[in-house]
Amino acid sequence: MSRRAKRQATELVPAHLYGLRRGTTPVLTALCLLFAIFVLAPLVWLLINATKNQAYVYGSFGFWFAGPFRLFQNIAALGQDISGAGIFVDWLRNTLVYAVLGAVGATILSALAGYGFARFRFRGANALFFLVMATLLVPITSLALPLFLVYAKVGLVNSIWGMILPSTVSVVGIYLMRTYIEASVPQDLIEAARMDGASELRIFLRIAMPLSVPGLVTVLLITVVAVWNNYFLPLIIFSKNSLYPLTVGLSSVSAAAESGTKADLVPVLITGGLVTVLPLIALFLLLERYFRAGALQGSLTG
Amino acid sequence: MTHHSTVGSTEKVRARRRGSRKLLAVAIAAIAIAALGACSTGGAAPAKTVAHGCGHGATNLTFWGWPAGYNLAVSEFNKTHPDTCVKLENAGASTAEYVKLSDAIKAGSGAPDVATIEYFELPSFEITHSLVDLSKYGVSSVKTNEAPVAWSQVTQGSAQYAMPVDLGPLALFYNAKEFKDNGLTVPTTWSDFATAAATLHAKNPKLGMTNFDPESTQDVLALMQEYNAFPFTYTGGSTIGINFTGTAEMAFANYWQGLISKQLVTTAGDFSPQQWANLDSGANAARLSPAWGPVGMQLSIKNTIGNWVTAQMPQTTAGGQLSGNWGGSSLAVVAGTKHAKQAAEFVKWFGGSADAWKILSGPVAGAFPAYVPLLNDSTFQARTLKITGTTTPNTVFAQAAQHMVDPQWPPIMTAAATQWTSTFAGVTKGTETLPQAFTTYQAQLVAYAKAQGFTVTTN
Amino acid sequence: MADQLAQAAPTGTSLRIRRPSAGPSRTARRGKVRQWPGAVFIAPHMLMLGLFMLVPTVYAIYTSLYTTKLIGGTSFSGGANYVTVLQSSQFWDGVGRVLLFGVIQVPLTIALAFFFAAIFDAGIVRFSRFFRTVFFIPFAVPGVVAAVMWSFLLLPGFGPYATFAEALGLGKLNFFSSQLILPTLILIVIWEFTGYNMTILYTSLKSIPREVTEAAIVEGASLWRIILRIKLPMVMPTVVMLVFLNTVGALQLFTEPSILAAFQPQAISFGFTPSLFVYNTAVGSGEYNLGAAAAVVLALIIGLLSVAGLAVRRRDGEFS
Repeated sequence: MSRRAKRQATELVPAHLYGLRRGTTPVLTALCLLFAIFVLAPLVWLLINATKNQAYVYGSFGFWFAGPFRLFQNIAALGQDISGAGIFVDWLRNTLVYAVLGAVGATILSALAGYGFARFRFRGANALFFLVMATLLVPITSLALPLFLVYAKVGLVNSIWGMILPSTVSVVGIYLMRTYIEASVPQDLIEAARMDGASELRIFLRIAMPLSVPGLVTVLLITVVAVWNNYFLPLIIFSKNSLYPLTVGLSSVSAAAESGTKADLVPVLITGGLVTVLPLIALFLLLERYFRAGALQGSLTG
Repeated sequence: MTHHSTVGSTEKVRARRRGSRKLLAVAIAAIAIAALGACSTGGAAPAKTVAHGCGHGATNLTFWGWPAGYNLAVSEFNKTHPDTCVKLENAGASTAEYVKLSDAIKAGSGAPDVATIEYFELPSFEITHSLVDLSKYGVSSVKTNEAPVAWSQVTQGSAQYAMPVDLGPLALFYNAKEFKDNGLTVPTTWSDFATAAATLHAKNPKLGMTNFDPESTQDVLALMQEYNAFPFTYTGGSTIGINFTGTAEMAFANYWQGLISKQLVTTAGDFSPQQWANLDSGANAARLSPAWGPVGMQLSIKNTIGNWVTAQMPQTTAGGQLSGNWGGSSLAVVAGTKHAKQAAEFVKWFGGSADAWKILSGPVAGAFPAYVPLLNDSTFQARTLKITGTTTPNTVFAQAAQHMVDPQWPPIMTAAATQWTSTFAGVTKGTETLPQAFTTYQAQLVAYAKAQGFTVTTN
Repeated sequence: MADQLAQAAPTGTSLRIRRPSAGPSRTARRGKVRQWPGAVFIAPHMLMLGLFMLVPTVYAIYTSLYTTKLIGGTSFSGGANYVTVLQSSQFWDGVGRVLLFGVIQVPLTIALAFFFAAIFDAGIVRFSRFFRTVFFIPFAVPGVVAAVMWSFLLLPGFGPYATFAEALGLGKLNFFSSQLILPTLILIVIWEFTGYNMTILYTSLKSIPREVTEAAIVEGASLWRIILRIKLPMVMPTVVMLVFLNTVGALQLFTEPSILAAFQPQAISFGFTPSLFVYNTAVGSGEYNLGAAAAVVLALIIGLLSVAGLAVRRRDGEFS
């Protein structure tokens, strides 16, 4: 009780301090609660319906359990051959590989480039930075197809590198690293290191990077989410089911569920959605404060 | 300033809450991982069986296919054919696969040796010379074992571009109990069908005879075949016939628009939950279904299981026996393969052997054969399903398979299907009529075909 | 580590989005510093950007000048594809639709996000930490999964939301009808991105020195006045940045409608959004060159709108 009171003393500012009426806090809290219900309801639905069979997904109230409890069968069905060759575990492993390698690559490249833009002045720097930002305007739908044809010429179709390499380009990552380094790596410190005869690479690795850890983590997490959720690029470049990430795999289950020949895939689709979402939510809860710390992120265009 | 006094304890509180948050996250992660553990035990086995029987030095073939149970047939082939090793890949279902296939062919790399292609799509690949003529590899000898409609769709003159696998002949499922309760007899002509629909509707305005989904390209085109109103003609080359506005086509459009306008039929999406619910609640007393239709239906209805009896499709002229084809697919050998001979041998086995059909017509795949020995098989015809009670739907479907209209698909079906949904959506919404949609669509498709360099005839 | 971060962030980085300065600080410029390493540091990224974004872009522009026919093959056609796109009513309908979508969705999302960020920042909501975490969760849900969930939730006649609407006396609502499909998509996108925008605005608000608020309170300003007249102008650069990113996202809308189309084909037409038009033309109809031309036109439209928007801001002396 006392702990709770103390917490509220720090986190909650009494409404009357602002000259507000007494009822303001409960009213605003209720509004937040409504929005929280709006946000959580679909996820609760996902959880509940992952326990049903197909007839009950359609034929029972969506926000309560009904019919035989099929969660484990539905999860097991994820591992079985879906329409002949789809294996959920492969998709999850692929997503992990693409997300980790793509995000690590993107973080390294963004750190290098962000540092270059933030702390050096060279011919054409502004034009190049403008060019980087301008690529945000190009719709991804228009890039994927030419990318495929270029890939075909260099043998990157059905190659995991065809997925990972483009994922290392993060415009938002560069913007963020540049801004972060400008704010948190003092130029004077770099000058001093140069006076001491440190090499440029050493300065970058030993001085700039340690001061930029929060920014680096933010870029890493943003790019993990971006690659994890990427749908269009893998859709175009992979024709091997065994190379699909979760997003494309799930949409193929979704298409099969709609085609009418295997209508019992609906619960599998729902369970697959649940298993796709859970790891990221877990990651968020663990590392949520890092996201806040970065805060400049803007990979909104997904 | 007063905040300072509480800082210490706040930190503790925060630390504790962070702890519980971590615990929650770890718990979620653990559940997810446990879920995956369950997957991997289930998943590892089938993945390996696909490669079973692949010995050293065997010829590797890549096979794109999506229908259920194909993996089982492939592993049986690999087991019994040690010199060839077929690897099944799912590159997407239907249009998704065709897009990838034509991209790969355009790009000159990444195409499979063998691909599943539905009958309507074959000409699109024939015209780009993307398919191997199988008659050169002795596959044509199976002709007598294939339903005539399937054979005609995989051949062009003396060339054979694919091996037929399954078919989707149409028949009428009717809810026997509902028919009996409302004093209806099974309609044998379309005019009987309309009369029965009116009778049913008069008894209860909530009831409709069946469902008609204007947006489902293949459903409508199958019904048009059966109505002797198929709008396309094509025999290879650069001339296409497109005729959605001819007499028969407009008669078809007016017939269904009449039923839609009087609310004698529903217009739910094919395979949508609404359609299943309509069948299960009695809001639809009948279903115009392809032979593979029961697969989805039996998983999606609860109350009317056992009530569904199969009958021949209603006819345009009394005493007719026509049926249309919805769905079904073939296996084609893709040009550029280094192993055309082995690929031809594989497709011949897959579509035309008793061994393959034992698996393909089994409970997992549930495919309906174009393979005549099985079609004529008395055990096959005597099979019953849960939803059909003691009746035997295959008897009717096998009969229908022998009396199908032979549709000539034009080589532009991908574009035709892409545009179809947009143009016909207004019929579902009630903002346009089916004849109006036919007229619009005719103009759109003719324009597209001309832009692609075809000569177009419209009568 | 986490603690360090939490404390370092608001002070270490200014969360207001500044125009990245055109180079290092003045002190640096005074010193004799080699500046060539800068080019070396950005080189790896520029290489990747060039290979994976610029090459395909140039390739798309190049192919948009040609026409490939099934009968007759490929030939140079100059601006013919562009004329076809510019004359296509389906394309312009889609452009109009995403503009309308953006005009409603972007302000609504940002207003909601700012409202929640502001009341959390002011500390007048109970359990605000919990709410902040919950609101952010949809960002972790891939668009594919979100579209699948919502298409079931809103399913006419079956989905629980349609059932609720009926119970509330709204009749049999079809969320996917031509009248409601746009509001439905707006609802889904608001669900996905409000928390994300809120998080950024919240952090931005937190970086405003406490003294500013305290002084205003002493002067007797009301909370709403503090939020709208004092804090909002201070975080305006962040708001502008979010408006820009949300607008680009709205104009390029693709994943949500394309997944919904699998469940509700009648709701999503061929050219429902310009990105869908590009995809359906290039992939669905095999008119690849025409699709490329449409993509170029779309990129130009988005670019022009952004430049126009940014020019207005620049005139006002804020975000560039």
